[in-house]
Amino acid sequence: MRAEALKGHLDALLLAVLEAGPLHGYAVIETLRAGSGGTFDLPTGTIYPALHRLERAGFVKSRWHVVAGRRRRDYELTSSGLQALSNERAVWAQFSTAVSSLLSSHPWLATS
Amino acid sequence: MASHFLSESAVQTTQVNAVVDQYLDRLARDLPGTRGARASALDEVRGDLREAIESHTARGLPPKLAAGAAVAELGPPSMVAEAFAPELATTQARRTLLALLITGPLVGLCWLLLLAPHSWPARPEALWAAIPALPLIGVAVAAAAVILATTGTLIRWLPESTPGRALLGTAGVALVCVLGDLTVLATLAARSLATTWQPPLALATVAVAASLIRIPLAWRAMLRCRHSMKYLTHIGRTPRTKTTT
Repeated sequence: MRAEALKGHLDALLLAVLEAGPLHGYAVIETLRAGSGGTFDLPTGTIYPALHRLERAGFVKSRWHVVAGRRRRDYELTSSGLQALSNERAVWAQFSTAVSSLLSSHPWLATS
Repeated sequence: MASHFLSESAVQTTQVNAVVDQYLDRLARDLPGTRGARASALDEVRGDLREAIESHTARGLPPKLAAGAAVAELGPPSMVAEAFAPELATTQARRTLLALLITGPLVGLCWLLLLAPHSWPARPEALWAAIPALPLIGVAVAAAAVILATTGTLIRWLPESTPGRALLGTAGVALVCVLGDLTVLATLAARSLATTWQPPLALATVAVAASLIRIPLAWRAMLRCRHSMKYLTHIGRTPRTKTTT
C-alpha cells in the first residue's frame, strides 16, 4: 500500500498499536504489519518521526532502556493518547460507514 | 573445531557490524538538525536495527542476510533522513528557543540592574528610554511563546506550526537577541562616553560578558536554523526515492 494512502490515519494506527502496552520502534512496525495482514508494510525508518511527533503532542511518552547491552527506546500511550485513540475510533467508524454506504453498489440509483 | 566455530561466529559478527555501521554512517551524513537530536535518532535506529537482525536470525536467516533484510526494512538512508527532517527541524527550533528563553532573563536582569533609571517603577516610559532594546525583546519573547505553543503539547488544540515556519521564527528570535545585545552594549558605551555616569564595574563586566558570549551563540543558532530551512526546502523539491512498499 502506498505510504500516502495512510496519511491522516497513521497517528491513529500507531496509537492503536501501542494500546496493548509499551513497544519499541521495530516492534511497532512489526505489529502494524502483522495486524494489517501485511497490507501496511511501511519502511521502518518513516515510523520514528511519526512516533516522535505523537510524543511532542503528549499522546505517547518514551523511555530509554538497556536491553542485552544496547539502548532501546520504548513508547507507551499516555492518558491523553488513550483519549485521542477513542476519538479517532469514533471518527473512523462514522467515516467508514459513510464511505462504505456510498461505495457499495446501489442498483436503485441506476433505475430511478 | 570449537575455534573454527568461534572464528566463524566472529566473522559473522564483523559482517553484521559492517552492514549496520555502513548504514548508520550514511544516515548520519544525511540527517539534519542539532548534534544531540541526531545522536538520539541514530541511537534509536541502531537499537531497533539490532532487534530486527535478531528477529530475522531467529527466523533462520544467516546473520549477514538478516542484517541486509533489517537494513532494507528501514528504507534507504536518504529517505529515512528526509522522513526525520521535519521532526528534527521542529526539535531544533524548540531547543534553540528554550535555550534563548532560559538565558535571556539572566542576561536581561544584568542589563536591567545596570541601565534602568532609579525612577522606572513610577515612570515606566523612563525605562523604555533608558533601554531601547526592550520593545525588541518583548516581540522576541512573544514570538518564542507562540512558536513553542504551536509546536508542543498544545498542538492538540492549536493549529500546528510547520517546521519551516518554526525555524524561520526561531531564526528571527535569535537575530533579535543579537540586535538586542548590540543595542544594550551600544547604549552602555554611549552613556559612559557622553556623561559622567560611572557604571558599577562588577555588574557592567558581567552584563557585557554575558552579551558578548550570547551574541556569537545566537548568531550561530540563527545560521543553523537557516541551514535546516534550506535542507527542508531542498527535500521539498526532491522526489522521494521510495514511497511504495
